[in-house]
Order: sequence, then structure tokens, then C-alpha cells
Amino acid sequence: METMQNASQTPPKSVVKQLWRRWRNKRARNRARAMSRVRFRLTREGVHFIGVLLFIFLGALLRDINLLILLAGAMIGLMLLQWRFNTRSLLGLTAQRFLPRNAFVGHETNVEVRVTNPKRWLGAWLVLIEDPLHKLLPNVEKLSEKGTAVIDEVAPNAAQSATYQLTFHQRGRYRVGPTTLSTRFPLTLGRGSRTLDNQVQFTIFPRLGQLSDNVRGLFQQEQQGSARAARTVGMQEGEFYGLRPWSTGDSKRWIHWRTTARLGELSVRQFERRERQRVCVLLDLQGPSQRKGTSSEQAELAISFLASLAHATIRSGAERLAIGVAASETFVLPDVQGCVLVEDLLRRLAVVEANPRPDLVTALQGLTPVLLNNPYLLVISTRADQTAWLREQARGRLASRLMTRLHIRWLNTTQGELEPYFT
Amino acid sequence: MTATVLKDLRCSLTLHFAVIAWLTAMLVAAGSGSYFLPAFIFCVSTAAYIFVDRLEWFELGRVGSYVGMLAATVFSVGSYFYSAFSVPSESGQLAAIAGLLVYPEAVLFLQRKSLRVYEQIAVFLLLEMIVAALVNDNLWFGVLLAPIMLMWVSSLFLFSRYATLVQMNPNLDEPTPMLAEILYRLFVKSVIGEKQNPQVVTTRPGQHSGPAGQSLRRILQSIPLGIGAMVFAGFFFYLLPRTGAVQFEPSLGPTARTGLPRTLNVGHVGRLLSDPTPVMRVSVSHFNTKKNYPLRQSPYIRARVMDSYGNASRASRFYGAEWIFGGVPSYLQLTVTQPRDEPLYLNRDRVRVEFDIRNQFAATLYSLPPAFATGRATPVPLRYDSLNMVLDEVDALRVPRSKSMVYEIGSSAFASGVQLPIVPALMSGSHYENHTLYNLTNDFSEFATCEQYRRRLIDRAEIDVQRPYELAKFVERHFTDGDFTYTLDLPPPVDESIDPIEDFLVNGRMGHCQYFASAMVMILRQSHIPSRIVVGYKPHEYNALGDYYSVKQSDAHAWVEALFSQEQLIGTELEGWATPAASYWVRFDPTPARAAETPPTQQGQAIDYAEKLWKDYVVEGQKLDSENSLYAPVSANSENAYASMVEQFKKAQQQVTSGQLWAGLARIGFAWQVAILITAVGVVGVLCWQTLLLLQRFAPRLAGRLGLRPQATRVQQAFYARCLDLLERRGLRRMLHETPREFTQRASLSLQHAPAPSGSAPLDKAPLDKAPLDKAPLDKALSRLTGLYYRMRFSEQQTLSPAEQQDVEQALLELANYPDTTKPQPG
Repeated sequence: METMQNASQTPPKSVVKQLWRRWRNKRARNRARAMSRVRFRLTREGVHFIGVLLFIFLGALLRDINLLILLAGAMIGLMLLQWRFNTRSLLGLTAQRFLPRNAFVGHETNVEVRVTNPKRWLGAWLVLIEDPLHKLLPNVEKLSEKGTAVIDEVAPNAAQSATYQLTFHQRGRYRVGPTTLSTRFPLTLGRGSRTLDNQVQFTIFPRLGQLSDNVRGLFQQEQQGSARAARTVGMQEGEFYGLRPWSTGDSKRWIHWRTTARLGELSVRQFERRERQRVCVLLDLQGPSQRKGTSSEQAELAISFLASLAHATIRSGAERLAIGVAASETFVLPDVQGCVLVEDLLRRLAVVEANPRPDLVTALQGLTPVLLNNPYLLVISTRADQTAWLREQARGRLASRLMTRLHIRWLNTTQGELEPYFT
Repeated sequence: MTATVLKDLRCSLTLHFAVIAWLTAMLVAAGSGSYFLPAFIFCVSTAAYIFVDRLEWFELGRVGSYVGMLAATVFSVGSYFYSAFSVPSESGQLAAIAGLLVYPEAVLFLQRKSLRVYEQIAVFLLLEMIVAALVNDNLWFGVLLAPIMLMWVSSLFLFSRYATLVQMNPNLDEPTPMLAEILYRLFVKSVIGEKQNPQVVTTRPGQHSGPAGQSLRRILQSIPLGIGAMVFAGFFFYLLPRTGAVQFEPSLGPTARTGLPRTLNVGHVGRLLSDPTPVMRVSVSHFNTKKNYPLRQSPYIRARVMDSYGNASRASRFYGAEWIFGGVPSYLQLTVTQPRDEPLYLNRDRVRVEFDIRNQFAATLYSLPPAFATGRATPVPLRYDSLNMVLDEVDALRVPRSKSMVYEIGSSAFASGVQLPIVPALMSGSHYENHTLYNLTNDFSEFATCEQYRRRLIDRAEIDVQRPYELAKFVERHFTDGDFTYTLDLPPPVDESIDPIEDFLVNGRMGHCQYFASAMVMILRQSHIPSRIVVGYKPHEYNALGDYYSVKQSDAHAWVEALFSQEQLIGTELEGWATPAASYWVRFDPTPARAAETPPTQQGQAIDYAEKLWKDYVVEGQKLDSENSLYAPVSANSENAYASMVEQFKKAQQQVTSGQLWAGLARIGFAWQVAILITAVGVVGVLCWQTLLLLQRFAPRLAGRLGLRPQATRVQQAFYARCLDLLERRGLRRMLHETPREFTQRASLSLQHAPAPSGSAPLDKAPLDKAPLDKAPLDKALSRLTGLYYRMRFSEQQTLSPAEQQDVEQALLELANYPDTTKPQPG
């Protein structure tokens, strides 16, 4: 460890690198300093106030009318108090944001912001918390909406929380922050604001829909038996393998009571993992380059169906999925069989876009090992049935053994072929 | 944020601005004299508060607002032109200017309230404050300024909250669109077309409401702020360097000029005596030390001399019988005393007399002879009539139009706190003077009734007519100690065929000072003693707070002055006060003592003194350019401020080099009363603020009831406070007897033994990053947090390393994401 630290602190030999590092550090310092600075700006009311104040003050000076000077003095006093309060009360405030790393489209997300005031004497009042929202993927866009919340008072040496809710209507990757704390307290003549360097990114998964019972018909009949058996014995159980000590998370059903009584500590049975056949699904998002920030309804429907299918399948524990996606990017997840993997799938589906020429063959190649065991392929597509074309394109690139056994079920979302299965 | 909360906020804001509008309109009304506007804005704003904001029965729409504004403007401008040209009236113009601000306010009050409407009301109210400051410069402006300031601060408190909520959620505020906005929207809609962007995200703002009792808390908070602003205003006002002399700007208020009249008919003084209007303040101080010179008796303040009397037979009793000045003045510039004048002031105290005359009476100047100049600059040149011992009047058009006129003269009329009745007569021996003196002895020969009365009086008393002073003194005592009665309730004349003075003398024997003085002068002149009536004031109210006499119109007085040669005073009680002068004017006051008057209350004195301070130090700042003021270095040479600054810099440089700087600073006086006032107000403000803090510490329950106690947790280690906060949400609160470790252990056990949620939460209802219901991570997280808390609390290592910080954040996240089994699970 020390060696590594020493190595990292050793200045680079190159002068250019030294200059570059120095410039980068300086830029980081300046940025941090600028972020921590409290900015004061006059509000519209403050501008009106200053206008009247100048009128009074100039009139008082030119005509030497003492009462107006007194009035102007009181007004200047109020303005100075405003400035002082705004700048001092925000100084040192920190904000900590608590939000989930991801959420689904259409679901309300609670975001909690906790503001801490480390000052000993001065509180902070009417603190407005503003979190700007940026969409990063699949397209970059600054959103006009902001997450906002207000805290009436943060007492000295104390903390206070406020929450706001966000409901996203488009999947994607978003950035929240940096948080801007501002206050108009006490007289709304000015607004002090301070920006904190606390932006975070999070993902909005595709919308989950309702799968109908007809979905089962999409898969082969021979899989139904194993699925039924799996439901009766539980999702994690297989062939008996042995005994082991109990650990957190083990089901009570697995406790081997006889051994437990004999050893005096909990012992559970251990099972071999059941090797089940995987269902292959290929998502084909073919379409023109979309307008900025929009995506076709058919593409969204296809993505949503796939997300719902994966979600529901893993929840039931009956099946395992092998998923290939041919869209703006082409990827294959050959064995989606747990929450983590589903989350990974959803995260990738969240940012996927349609492509005029999706690479179906590459995706198919990725699915080959699975298809060799289970040659039934379900294709969710935004275009009409291209089975023949796909076979033609894949000829020579896929094993002939697979090509002869491959059975493709093509569902075209543009023709409403998903309607019996998904709403 | 519910609509009810926002509505309450609007109502409260409207009420605040309504109160400010009433108070400001009252300020304007107190200056302009018309109370229609405050009554109008009171009615309209009250109706608006009830029917527009509270009940929401009606409101002025867009068209109604435009029409109302237009009508208000046209009406006010029309009123102004009418008052300016058709029927010239200054008060009418003032009312029109005030109306130009108040009527639009009324229209705004009747509109649906929004940020924009409140801004406009605020601007109109500020402008109205300017008008109030221009038309109303009395103490009430200062008195009402404090509550108005507090109301402003309180209103702006509310307004800041309202503006913050609107900024957080603009949909809350739906202002009536301005015409330009409507046109722009129409243009955009018709030409460009409306562009529909897909909605990406819907936000729902959140709010953490503060403790209960917000209104009281806000008011308590506004007090130190308002006082702070006022204190700043005071310091700003007094520390602002002034490069020019204080200008006497015309006041827009009424400027009636009803001082002592030049001609005095028989009933005139009676009317003055029933008028309690303040006239001036007179203070007397030692000439050299400038300290207060205490007087044992009220001084006779001299205004005019009346030496000719109209014949009653030529006109009616009340309009023909009048005193006028028929003599010849002998004016000279009032000068500082010279060594050659010293004998004239023998055995007398030399004092400074400051007259602070209200503007409407400032045409007449007053004196206390023998008078001389003090060297202090005066707003008008003082011309002294040495024969009549009065100051020349000022042309009414040349009187400085300020709230008052202050000048100072020197006087040697006092000895040991008593105003001497004898004044050396300064005669030049000119023909005009001789003619005047002749008239003073031969003007009443035709009044037979009086002559008969005088003869009977002298014969009965066996007075030696060759000793004129004793004769005059006897006549004075005849009136003061006889059966004459002082009254302002004059009986009707008994004999209308004779002069009213004669009728008073022989029939009525009841009257006021003018009757007594006239009768005595009549008797003295018929006895060939030169005499005349002097009109002025004899104040009865001494203000002990400010060490000055407060003179009112009801203090008007007339007395008698007779001329005696030095020989005629030999052997009298006045012989000792004689100086090397040929003749002397001796004062006689034949008016009997009036009925006992109610002495002025301490409260009345305090108000009067406060008014004086307000005038001296604020409205006109007369004390600000005095040599004792902090401004003196700047304002002394007002014509060339820059040259003055250079000169002062050089002086300071010389003082530094000679080591006299600190001695010089020690001599600088300040308006200590104002300094004490400002300091006291500041101290009170700080005390109020500190009381709020101490209340929270020593009486937390009371502070909680008042809404002063912050509900947020007091923390030393923010992460552990956050941990406690998260546990508190699950109903776990640390007991007083528990150590932090005991508490977290109990919390861990409690959460682990809580009933498990009914089935696993569906994946679509719970975030995927949340861990499944596993007790061990919770236990570990709580242990980690508690351990770090103990370390930071009790060890010297007070900081967390980056790795520990990350660990803490992870533990808090685990705690936050731990399923809340106490709440029903969705789905």
C-alpha cells in the first residue's frame, strides 16, 4: 500500500505532465471553490425596491429632505440585512440526497434531501432545495422540471429533511443534481444560492406491463412440466446434496431437524442446482433514427414487454431466460436467472434505442449455445416477419445443426401481435 | 402544499398590506388634513380581505382591473388639475397626489392576488410613504414609522414564503396576464403554433413545515429585524456626510400665519388666550458656559409695542377701539456687545436666549431686552428697534419655509434668575423720538370718565403725583389687589356711550390683560407718565426635560411699560438696578393673577420634548450643523466641500504632529440624546433576540408552545443523528436511560423480531437495489455506526477517513433501505 501511495505521489518526469496535473488540480480547486460560494442576486421584488430606494435617496439628497433620508436609510438597512442573511445563512450548509439507484417508468420515486447546518448560532430559514434533472441516455437533454422541496427552518447545529417525488415517463439514464440551496429569507428582496457538488446518476427502467396467461403458450409444451414441478418444490431446490450449518437467508423448510437436534445447532439441507432449459428471446428494434427525446410506441412496447417478461419469469422462478437484443447496441445475456441479472438487463434496456439496421445475426450468434439445447426462439420485433431473411443472413454463420432445428416465433408489435399477451 | 395553506397565506398577506395601507394613508392624512383616503382604503381593503380573499365571492377580472386603474388615474389627475388651476388649493393637490396612489391600491386589493399584484401593492405603498414624508413632518411620522416598519418586515416575511412556494411550484400562482402577455400568446399560437413536447418527468414538490405557532414566531422574528433596520437608518442618517447646509424646503402642509397681530383691538387678546396652539420654545442659557440658566419666574417675552389707541366714539366697541403702533422705529443691526456697553449690563447676568418659533408664527420676532447679538448665525438678519426694544418683523414671503425658525440673541434682562423690571432706555435724542415720547404722554386727554376715575383714585389714596414711580406702582397695585377680576368671559358693556376701557374701569371691572394694561396706560398717560402697552407672551409651561419654556397662543399677554428718568427712581426699590443711563423703561403688570391653571403633565412634556428632538435632529437637522455635531467638520464650509475636506485633513495632520488629535476628539460632542435613544433601541433589539435563544434553553416547554423550539435533532455527529432519525421513523426512539449501544442493540432486536412482511415485495413495487429481508446487514450497520459514534464522541480522533465515510454512507443506506415491517407493504 505504501509503495503504491509513494508511487502515486511521485511527480511525473515529463514537464508537460506536471503542468497538466497542476492545471487539473487548480481547475478542480477553482471549481470546488466556485461551487461552495454563496451567490446573491436581486429578485424582481428587490429590483423594484432598489428602484424606489434610488428615487427616494436621490430626491432626499438633491432636496435635502431629512425624512426621506431617514426612509432611505431604513430601506438600505433592510437591503443589507437581506444580503447578510442570504449569504451567511447558506454558508456551510450541506445536503445529502437519498434516492434509489433506479426506478420504473410511471412509478413515483421519493427523493429525500437532508440539509445539515453546522453553524453554532445562525439558522437557515426557508431553504429551497432544487435538483435539476438531466437525461443522459439514450439522448442528452436538460429537463425543464426540477425536483424541489423547501425546508422551513434548519436550526443551528441541526439537520432537517424534506422529500419530493419524481415520476418519470421515459426510460433512460438520468442525472440528478447538483443541488442548489437557495433562500429568499427574510424579505425576498434578494436570493442567496449555493450549489453543491452532489450530482448522482440513476436509471429509469422500462415500464412494466401486465402479462396475460397466454404468454405461457409462447413457450414449448415440454417445458411446462418442469415449470410445474419447480413451483411445487420451490425455486431454489434441486437434488439433495448434503448438510451444512444454517446461515442467514436459509429457508426454515430446509432445516434438517434430526441433525439439528443431534449437533445442537441449526443444520440445513443443501441441494444441487436444477439445470432447467432456458427460453430464448430476441429483441429486434428496427426503425428509423428517432426524433430527439422520443421513441416509437412500438419500440417502447417491445422493450416493455421484454422487461415485463424477464421480471415476471424471474419472480416466478420457473424459467431461465436467454435474451439477445439487436438495436442501437447488440448484446446477449445468455442466462438471466436472478434479481441482479434482471436488474442488469433492465438497466441495459433502459437506454437502448431502435436502429435502422439492427444486427440480428450477431445477437443470434450469441444465443447459439442456448439454442442448441432449446432451439425455440421468440423474436419480439418492430417489423414484419423476417424469418426467411434472417435464416438467409444466418446461413454460414450459424451451425448447420442449429439452422435445421431452429424454430422461430416472430411477434410484430406494429401489427398488434403482442396484444394477446401483454397489456 | 395544499390550497388551503396557500389561501391562508394569501389572506394573511392581504391583511398585512391592508394594515400598512391604513397606516400609510393615516400618515398622509395627518399631513394633508383629509381623512377621506384612510377611510376609503380601510373600507376597500377590509372588503377585499373578506370577500375577495377569504370568501372568494368575487374579484376584479382583467378588464375590470384595467378599467379601475384607468378610472383611478383619470380621476386623480383630473382632481390635481382642478385643484391646481380651476380652484387653486394646495390641500386639494395633495389629496389628488395621494389619491393617485391610494385608488390604484384599492383596485389591486380587489384583484385576485398573485406575486405580481403583491409587488405592485408594495411599490405603491412605498411611493405613498414618500408622499407621507413630504407632507407630514411631525412627530407622528416617526412614531408610526416603527410599527409600519415592523409590519413591512412581517409582510415581507410572509411574502418571501409565498414567493418561495411559488418558485417551487409555479402552478400555485396564476396571475392575471398583462395585455402584452396576452398579445404575445395570441401571436405565438397563431403564427408559430403550439409545440407539444412529450413530458419526460412529473415532479411533486415537497415541503417540511416548521414548528407550530408560525405566525407568532414570524412576528417575534420580525421585531429584531425591524429594529435593526431602524437602528441602521438612525446611524445612516446621522453619519451621512452632508456637504451642504440644511435647506429649508417648503413643506407641502398647511402654512397658516396667525401670529400676534399688528393691530390689537379690545377683544383680540381674549381670542388668543383661548387658543392652545404652540407658538415657540424658548430656552435660556448662560452666555459663556451655554448651560441652562434657571429662571425663578416666567419671562416676559416681548413681541410688539402698542403706543396709540383708536377713539371708541368713532366706531363700534370691538372694531374701532384698537391699539396700534404709531411711533417711529429706530432700527439698528443687532451687534455683539462692546466694552463700552458694559456699564449698561451692570449687576446683570448675560444669557443666551434661543427662540424656536413655529413656522406659522415666524413673521414676528421676539426679544428679551436689553438684547445683543451672540455671534451665532441667524436665518434672517435681526434688526433691533432700540427705542421700542423689539426686533423688526420679517416679511411673510421671506420667512424661511421650514418647520420652524430658530435664532438666538443675547440678553442682560436677568439677575439671579429673575427678569428685572427695569431696562435702560437707549435714546438718541432725535426729533422722531421726541415726537414719539410726546405722544406717549398726551394721547388720552379726552377720556373724561377715566380722568374722573383717576382723580378720585389719587385723591383717595393721597399719592404724591410728583413721584411718578410710586404713582405707577400704586395704580398697578390698584388693579392687582383691588376688586378687579380676571376673566375671559367678558360681560356685555354697561354703558355703550363711553369707551370700552372706561366702561371696564368704572362699570364692569372684569376683563383680561389687555383691559388692565389699557386702563393702566390710560391712567398713567393722564398722569403725564410716558407709557405704552407691550404685547408678547408670558409662558406658564416649563419643560424640565428639555429645559425650555413651551409657549402657546394662550400665553399671550399684554403689560405696561413706563418711562422714568434716573432721578425719578431714586429712593425706590429699583434704584439699585440703575445703570449709567438717563432714563429707564419700567415694566408694570396690572393683570391680577388668573385662576390656578392645570400644570402640564409629565407625559405632555415628554411628548413636546420628543417633538423638539424630532424636529431638531431629524426633520430639519438644525442641531446637526452646530459646532458640537459630528457633521461640523463637513458642513462648516458648505460652499466648497472639497476645500473643506482638504482643510480638515491639514488640520488633522497638524493635530497629529502636535499630539492634540485625541484631545480634539474628546471635545467633539454628539447629540447624546439621540445616541442614547439609538443605543437603547439597539440594546432592546439584541435583548429580544437573545431572549428567544435563552427561552429555548431554559424554558423549552414554553418555547415549544410558542413555536420557538426547533424540532430538529441536536446533533454533534451528523451520521449518528441521521441513524437515530431513521430509527425514529420506525417508531424506535432512544430512551433517556439508554446508552447509544444499548439503544441500537434494542433497535436491532426489535426490528428483527418485528413481524415479517406478508410475502416478498413484488419486484415492480420495490427498488431492485434493496436487499432482501436479511437481519444480519442491519445488525452490522447499526454496530458500525454506533462504534464510529463512540469513537468520535469519546476519543481524540474526531474525523472520519474517506473509507470510513464510505462505510458510514453504506450503513446508512442499508438502514434506510431496510424494509419497514411496521407499515403495510404495498400490493
